[in-house]
Amino acid sequence: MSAPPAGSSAPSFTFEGRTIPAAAGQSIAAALYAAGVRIFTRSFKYHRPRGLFCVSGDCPNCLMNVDGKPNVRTCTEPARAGQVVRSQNCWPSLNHDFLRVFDYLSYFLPVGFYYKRFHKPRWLWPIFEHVVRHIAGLGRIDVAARPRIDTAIEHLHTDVCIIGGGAAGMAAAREAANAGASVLLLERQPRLGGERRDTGDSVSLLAEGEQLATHPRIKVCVNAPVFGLYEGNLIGAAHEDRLLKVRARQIIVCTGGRERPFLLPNNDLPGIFLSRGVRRLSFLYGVPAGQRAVVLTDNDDGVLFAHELKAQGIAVVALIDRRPAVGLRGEEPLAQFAGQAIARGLVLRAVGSKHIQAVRVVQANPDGSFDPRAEQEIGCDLLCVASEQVPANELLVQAGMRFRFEAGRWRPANLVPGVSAAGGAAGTPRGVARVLEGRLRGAEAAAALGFPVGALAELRQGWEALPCSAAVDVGSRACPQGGGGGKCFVCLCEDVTDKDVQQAIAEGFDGIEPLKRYSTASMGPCQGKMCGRGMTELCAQFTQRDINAVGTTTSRPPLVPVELAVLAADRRHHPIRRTPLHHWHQAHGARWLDAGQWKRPESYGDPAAEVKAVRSSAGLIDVSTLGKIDVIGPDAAQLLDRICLQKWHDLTPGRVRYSAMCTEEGILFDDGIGGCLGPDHYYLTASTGNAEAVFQWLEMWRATWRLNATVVNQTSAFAAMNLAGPHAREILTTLTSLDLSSAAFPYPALRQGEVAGVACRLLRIGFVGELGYEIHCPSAHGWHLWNAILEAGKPFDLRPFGVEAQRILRLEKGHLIVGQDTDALSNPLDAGLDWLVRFEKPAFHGRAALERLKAMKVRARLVGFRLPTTPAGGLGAPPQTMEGCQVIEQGRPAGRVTSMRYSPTLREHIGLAWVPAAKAENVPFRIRFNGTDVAADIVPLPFYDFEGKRLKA
Amino acid sequence: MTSAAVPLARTPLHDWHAQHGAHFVTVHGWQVPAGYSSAESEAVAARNGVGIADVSSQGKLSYRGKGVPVLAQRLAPDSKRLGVTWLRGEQAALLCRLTDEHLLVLSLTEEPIPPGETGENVLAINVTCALAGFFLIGPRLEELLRRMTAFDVRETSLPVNGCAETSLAGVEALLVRSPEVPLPAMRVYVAWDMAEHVWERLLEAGRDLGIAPLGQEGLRLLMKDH
Repeated sequence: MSAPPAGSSAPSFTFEGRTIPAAAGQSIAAALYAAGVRIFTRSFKYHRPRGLFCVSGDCPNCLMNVDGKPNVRTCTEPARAGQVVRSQNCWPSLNHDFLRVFDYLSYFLPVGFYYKRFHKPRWLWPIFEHVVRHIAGLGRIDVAARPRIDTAIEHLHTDVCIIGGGAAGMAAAREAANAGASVLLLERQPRLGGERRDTGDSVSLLAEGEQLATHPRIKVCVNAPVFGLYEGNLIGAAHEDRLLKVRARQIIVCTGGRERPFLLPNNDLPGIFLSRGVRRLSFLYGVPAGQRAVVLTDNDDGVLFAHELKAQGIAVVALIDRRPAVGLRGEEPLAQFAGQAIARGLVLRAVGSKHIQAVRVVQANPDGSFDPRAEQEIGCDLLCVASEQVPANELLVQAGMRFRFEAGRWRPANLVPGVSAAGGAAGTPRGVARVLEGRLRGAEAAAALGFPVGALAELRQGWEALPCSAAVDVGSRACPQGGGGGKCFVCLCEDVTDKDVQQAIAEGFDGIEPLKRYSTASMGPCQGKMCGRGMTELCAQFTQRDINAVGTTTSRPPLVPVELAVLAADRRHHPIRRTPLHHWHQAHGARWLDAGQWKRPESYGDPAAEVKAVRSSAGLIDVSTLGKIDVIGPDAAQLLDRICLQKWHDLTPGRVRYSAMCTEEGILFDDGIGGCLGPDHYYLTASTGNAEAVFQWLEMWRATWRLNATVVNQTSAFAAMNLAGPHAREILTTLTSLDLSSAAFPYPALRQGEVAGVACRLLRIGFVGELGYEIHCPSAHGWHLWNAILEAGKPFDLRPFGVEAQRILRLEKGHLIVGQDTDALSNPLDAGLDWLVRFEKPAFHGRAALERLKAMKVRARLVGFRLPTTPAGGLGAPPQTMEGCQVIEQGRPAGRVTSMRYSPTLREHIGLAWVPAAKAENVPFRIRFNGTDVAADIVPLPFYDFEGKRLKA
Repeated sequence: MTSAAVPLARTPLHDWHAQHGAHFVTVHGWQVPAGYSSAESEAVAARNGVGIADVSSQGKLSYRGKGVPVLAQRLAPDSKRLGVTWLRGEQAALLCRLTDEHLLVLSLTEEPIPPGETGENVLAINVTCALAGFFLIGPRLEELLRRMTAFDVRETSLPVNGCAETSLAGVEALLVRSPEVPLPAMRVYVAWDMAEHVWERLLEAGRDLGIAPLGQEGLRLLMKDH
């Protein structure tokens, strides 16, 4: 027996209150096994005791809770000092689980019971569901645990990616790299070597792996299980806490083969192992699996394995070979075994309650029948199952490769460009053939990428000359009958027996996919790795069809469990946009609001006071998030004329206009301010959320119509701030030499000039309904300008205001917000923007739809409203919670509230709502709010400064 | 009107620099970080791991239009159709041909080509304040970028004097593999308002690679190596 991997310290962990010592490098399960633990889990449905079986992270038999994380495959999870390991799905303990009562009640729990029982009477279902949830299943998620956020992503690019570092994979890597390709080798285990690592010849193999890792063009990545193969040769793998996304020009899948369980009664007893599990336990972790072993096999490797066991000092009390003759290619003398060797042997039953104690064995006749009187019982504490391998080909299937069963083996039936398979994954038997195939596929991959490969023809010849031995046909793989009963499990994860499968087929679920769904076989944690092929074979046998006609179930990612935190690693890159004044706001007590990707100050603590400041003296708001777009060129006016609702071509330099645009369907898309900066140069703003969309919309139509204009997205380039209030002009005068008088710079208009030494674009507009200047400057000077204005405004009680104050101010002024007061069905005619639409223009976006709408009867319109009487004690909730409430007409919903605030200026609740077009002006309408109907009066817009005197001051 | 001196411009990372102990220096009207610790230690960090410098203050001029091929030919007669040409000497600049009709000139100042000299059908746009720029220098650069972008950043795919528009940290970015220093170097340009997000993601992702911010003085030490 080889020593466990050398390590500095021996970690110890706790398991159910016991302290378990572990050798360095051991897995949790190996340490537990060495400490005498034999029952590792209780099964999903029947709560039968289960022990180690595959020891390679495939089967469900070792799932435990480790440090609060459920369903950890403890057979491969490294033991670390201080871990807390707990069992799951048992009560009160693994060794004594009362829920095993279901094993004896199995008659009442046939296949599909979950779909059939408990549904009548209907009211009982919730009760049953609650109970079933608690007694069946896997581990529990610890919702109190803090979510992990320390995951990361890494994108890798390589010429050739090889998945699986076994004999074939290592050969492929070397061959491709020697030809000049860059190679990435992904291995799910901590070391290269594949199944050869699990046997005695690991020494030369480790040296080979180390040598490979020093190759200048090979990058080896261990502990990196691949969970999916996606379109475009994208490979998803998890590497510790890191998500790897690998793009490879060529992929070679070398994931090896898997032994599958033999079907026999009580085939789930602890003490029954796959032979590779026994190998891994002893060679990787230094733990012998038992003392007295029975080996059950149908191939040469099983015989070799029996020799191996003897060499380790484990007594092989019997070698049971399903084939007609025992021994290596029939040559090995039987006498080498101290115990018995039985050809055409059948294990009729495993005997034991919580651990295997014996097997009942018989020699079959050449026709498969047997004489029950010849049955004998052989005592043992270990039954090793060494079956012919089936390909671990799930990734290949995900890539589009199909497999056919021929001469006892599953082989690829088609080629997939850029993806190939070598070794066990391609159904190639063990031995030199796998290495040769690996070399060939490596060379082919390099050659496909244009690297000169001299040995290609030679390798191909060698491969073609190699005889591909057929597997020996050992007859029926169904569970032997007449051995005295006991459940025979096809699917260990979901506790599905061969009788369940038979029953499901008898009920008509005889296709492999419906059979899987109905019986739930292969839908558990192993996802069919253990049972998939067995199911196909059983289904073929029971339905008397060809295996290839039955087919296999579909393999989908993730092939191995991946934590959602790892998959979500690149979601951490969710971008945040900050205005150039972000840190000023932060330092001045801003309460943040997420506006798309932007962070905006909602207020600096008191929105009502901010509103008052704007109405009585002056306020300053950061509007850098607005979309800012330059349209330059001879066709600029034409482009805007055709996109927007109103005219652009008659806009002279210095003039601005409120502008809006529609989709082809006449739906309001966005609004903003547009101005003319000079000949063939226009500047428009878009709302914060639509900035990118408007830019792309303009750019798309410019290109489509082949107009000679350039659309420049200046959103990031300019900081913008709106100085508004009765004292705005006085404040600004101190900072600029521009003539700000209403005669020289009227409402609405656009000027360019220096403010506080910074070159700016100034727009005299009035979103908030006061004398105001929106000032745009290069973003690098935003901080300077903002501070200069605040400094100049000190004598006038200038106050910064946030988005909430702006919302109140604009509502008082009756300005709508596209996307809040309108939706995907709102057109400008109904929304009260009919004055914008210039039907006299020959063509513009949405014209046809709007003309039709104009001819139709208007169904709804957007109106302003006020609450004449506020219910005693206020609304009982912030007024904005009324947004979205229904407008009720004759007891039925007839519209909705889109905006609602308390106006500190008007001292009443005001809002915007969609109401039926026929609604009379002077009759109050009703809003259903928190279960009561509140009366609202329609008010002509705007609520505040109806004549617009303040704007034009 | 109170006439102030010409105001100093700030990069979008100004507050980050200040919070991380930078001392500032004025370059061409901009306040830029001269250094955070000592220039030597910053340069050592870059030579061993990755250094990251804020070069947002450097000039970025975008030339677009049908006349761009002629202009590019005139500025750098031996330039390739697409990619980067390094003009050295007095008016050092990187000419990045992004498309046939789009030339981005990266230089130390915002001084544009005089309007009369751009030729016919060329629209000049100063994008200095639209794009933030970072200069990443050091042997572990590729390792860092692999964690930030799905783009293949190996030299085989993005060689020296190559550039690529791609996504970095979830943000649109221009990568320019720079020839200016004798170490692996990449200039990264993202939208001005995304600067802090990308900068912080880079520093976070590169922690185990020994990433360190690099001031003007440290950057100059590295440039001198050439």
